[in-house]
Amino acid sequence: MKRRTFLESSALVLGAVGLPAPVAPPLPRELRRWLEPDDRELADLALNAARRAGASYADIRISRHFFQSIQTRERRLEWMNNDVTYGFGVRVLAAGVWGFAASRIVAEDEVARVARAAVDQAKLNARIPHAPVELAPAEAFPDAEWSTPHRVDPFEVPINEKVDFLLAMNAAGLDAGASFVSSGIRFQKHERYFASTEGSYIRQTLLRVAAPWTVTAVDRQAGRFASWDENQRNAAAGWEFLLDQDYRGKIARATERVREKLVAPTLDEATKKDLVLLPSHLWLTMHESVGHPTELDRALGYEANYAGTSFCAPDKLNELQYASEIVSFEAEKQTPSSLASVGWDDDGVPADRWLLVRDGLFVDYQTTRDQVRWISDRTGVTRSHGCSYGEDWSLIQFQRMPNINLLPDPDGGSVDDLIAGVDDGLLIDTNGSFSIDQQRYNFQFAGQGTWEIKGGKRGRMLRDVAYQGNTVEFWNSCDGLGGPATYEVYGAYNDGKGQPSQINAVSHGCPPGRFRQVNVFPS
Amino acid sequence: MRTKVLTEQEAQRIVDVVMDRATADATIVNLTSREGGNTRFAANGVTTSGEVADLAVNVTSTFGARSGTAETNGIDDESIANVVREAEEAARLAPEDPEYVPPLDRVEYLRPAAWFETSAAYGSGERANAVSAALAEAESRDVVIAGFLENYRTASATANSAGLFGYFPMTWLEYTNTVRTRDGGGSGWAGVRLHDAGALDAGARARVAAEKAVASRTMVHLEPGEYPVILEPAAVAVMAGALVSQMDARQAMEGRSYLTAAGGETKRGRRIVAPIVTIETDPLHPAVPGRAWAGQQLPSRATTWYREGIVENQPIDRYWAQKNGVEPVPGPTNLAMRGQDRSLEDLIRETDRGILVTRFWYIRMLNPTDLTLTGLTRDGTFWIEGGRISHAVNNFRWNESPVRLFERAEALSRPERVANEDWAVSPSYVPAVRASAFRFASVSQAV
Repeated sequence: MKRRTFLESSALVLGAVGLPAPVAPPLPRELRRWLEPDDRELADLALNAARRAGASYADIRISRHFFQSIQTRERRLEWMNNDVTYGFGVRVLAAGVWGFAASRIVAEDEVARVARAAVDQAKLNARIPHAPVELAPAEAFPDAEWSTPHRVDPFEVPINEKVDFLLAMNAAGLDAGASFVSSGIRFQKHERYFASTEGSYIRQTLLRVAAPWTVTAVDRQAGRFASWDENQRNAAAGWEFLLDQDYRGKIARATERVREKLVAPTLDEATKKDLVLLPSHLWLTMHESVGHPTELDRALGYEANYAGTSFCAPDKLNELQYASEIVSFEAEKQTPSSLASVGWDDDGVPADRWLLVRDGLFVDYQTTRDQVRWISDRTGVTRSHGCSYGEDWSLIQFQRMPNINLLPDPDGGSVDDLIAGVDDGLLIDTNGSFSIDQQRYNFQFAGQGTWEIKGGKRGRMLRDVAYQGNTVEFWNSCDGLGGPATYEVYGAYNDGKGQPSQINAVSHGCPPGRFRQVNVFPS
Repeated sequence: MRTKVLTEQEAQRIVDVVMDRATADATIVNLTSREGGNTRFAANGVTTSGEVADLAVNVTSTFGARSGTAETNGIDDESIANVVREAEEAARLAPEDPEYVPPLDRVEYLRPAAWFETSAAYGSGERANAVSAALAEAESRDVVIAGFLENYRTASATANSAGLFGYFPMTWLEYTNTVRTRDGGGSGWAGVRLHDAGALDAGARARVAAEKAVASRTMVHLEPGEYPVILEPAAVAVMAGALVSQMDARQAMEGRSYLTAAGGETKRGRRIVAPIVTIETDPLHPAVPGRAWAGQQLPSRATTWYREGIVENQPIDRYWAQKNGVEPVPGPTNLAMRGQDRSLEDLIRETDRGILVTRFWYIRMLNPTDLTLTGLTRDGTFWIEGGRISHAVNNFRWNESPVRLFERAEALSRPERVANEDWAVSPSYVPAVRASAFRFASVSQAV
């Protein structure tokens, strides 16, 4: 049944029941959805209005975004929010310049008005100096659908179950002797409809789940405290992902470690040591030192005013030995449970998989349709890699990071094998403090847990230790990676870029890695 | 249909609809509406721009001591009915909150003068003109400019079932630009956040950034180490913001803050930074008006966080205040740091040797026990010798605590408005600070 037909019949039903409007019970959200205008009809109205106003290309994203956050501490629910935002954004190319306008009022008159406003804006901008935009070719997908694979939609699980789940996590920490424990869930569901003047009509539903937590131990007499924070275990998945994690076990273990950390020594002085970095830590070092530098817009100066530029300029393609020969980084939007995975990007380009660094050599960038012509002469790639993403309906899509993974050594062994090759070093678990310069040379990272390695064996725990390196030097010092069995996936739930700043979610898979003679210091 | 931000009457009407629908023992409503746009430019040309109108209706319902919250961006009756129903359903399923405090009774909110007609009338045409002026400045100097101009009209309302109602309209505009030399060897930055769009001179901001970029093209290598420093206001806003945002009373009393002292004490009432350091929130500040209310619907009010170096007040929420028999203290809705009657140039003239820092980048906590942060310098780092800027130096990573920085503060300039930065309280009005020592930990090759 077409929605408009349903709208008419449902109005009749309501009329027949004769409920006075002011006290009528609200319709359930699922039923109410049927009363809304048809996405395809609205999209065509907007795209036609844009074309008539002079756009050479236009797309519309009509989307509804659900966010649920619940936060607890110790034995108490602190706060929650259940947020839904619905609206649309129209992006147009007119006179060779982008224009974009968005509105929360999803209605026939409004989509046409907003489409014309976007064209007006492009024409206004065309009077200012600009470089004309050209789009790489893309196939049309006239009736496409995709959803994040999942078993249980997290928004369908009753709130009390979620609160109980979190309070049980906290209890595991309190029972193990933690002074404070906090935990929360962050769920997202993005229902996105994309249509373009090139004939694509794409409907997608993206789900994301995360449950960050913190354990703290306090010594009041000494005025000291120590914490263990975990926010990196997340996925594009349903509620089942959280049920499969052993949070209670992890929190109990972290409580033991945090009590040990409270009295642990730090390093005597700044020095150089070998590092073995676990996947729960290494993913963020990759994100910052490989993910961001290989964004093409950064490399060409388009992010100069905010996130910065990149040391990885186009003349380094196929020239720069980014890392040692055992290191290859792939980019992809296809791994089902990874955060950046989609069926199609926000240019309507299907999800891709490609190498950024092959056997240590820098070979390619992350691209969108309007970036391809900037680099295709050097890469030989004439199609977009599909990295266009807009956080929600109100923000214009642009190039965002896909999932970027460090491929395991096919013949690699275990973490213990990597440790066995270190005489004097550190083992680091889980991401802590992180910072990198605006061209991605100088970085500094710390973990939640740091242990000495002496004579090929893990030794005592240390507190307040960080390491600092230079991206290319660091990755070239990598002389050991774990095998396929050690590969794990973690992710950044709130990766910021752009102006206005937009959030992206992205996963990174990797094995543990060993790095030689890195600067370390007591922090 | 042209969307406008909510008027006070419209906000009141939405609140009335929510309260009519509500069946909970207590209901709190927060409304925000915004309308505005942005223009972005890079590589000496405009790149993207956007216009958006949106709002949010956030409802918290409480039965007994069980609370639930839901939010929507629809204001038709159906959307409002749904958001109330969802908040109430969530509340019924929530556990009892042992720290529940009932909604505030009616209060008188201050009315910060944050709405400017010049800003309300500011649109894509005005943005295009401002960006054109900046692009022209860059072209005339043969440098490469990238930047961002964003302006919004906003209106917020807060209300509850005890009869409290507040309405607060605000306009704001933020302009930032980064200029790089064509060879990529120099970079400079300038930016500002204003409530009054009429005060923006984008061409002048482009000129400042261009001059810094050109001046920083020939850098002299400087080893990391501890040096005297002058931080420009953009960098000071970050350090002052970090100092204030980590002051929460409960965190300190629970033993997990930089204001925690040994023996279960806190550092409230102690002098922990230099006597020239006074940092306040003043919602009625003429240069940087704050918001009318803070969290928990508490009325924003003039509060001194640090007075002459002494920790005077800490934010304290309603439950923790009640438990400890004190009045709650709302968090900062703006930040004003007192200055001295001299210019940045005066500070430089009085400096024998040291480093001048334009701004910071990528600041993260390194050690929360003493509030040591890490970050980098960016877009204009210079060596001062004999009272003048001698030459540019490389950028640095630094590992330093704002407590230690302000402990070593020796002189301040007149405060000014700054652009919003990570860790800063927005809006901020802060001086440049000269300090006797700052720890630069390693060299950054980045320009």
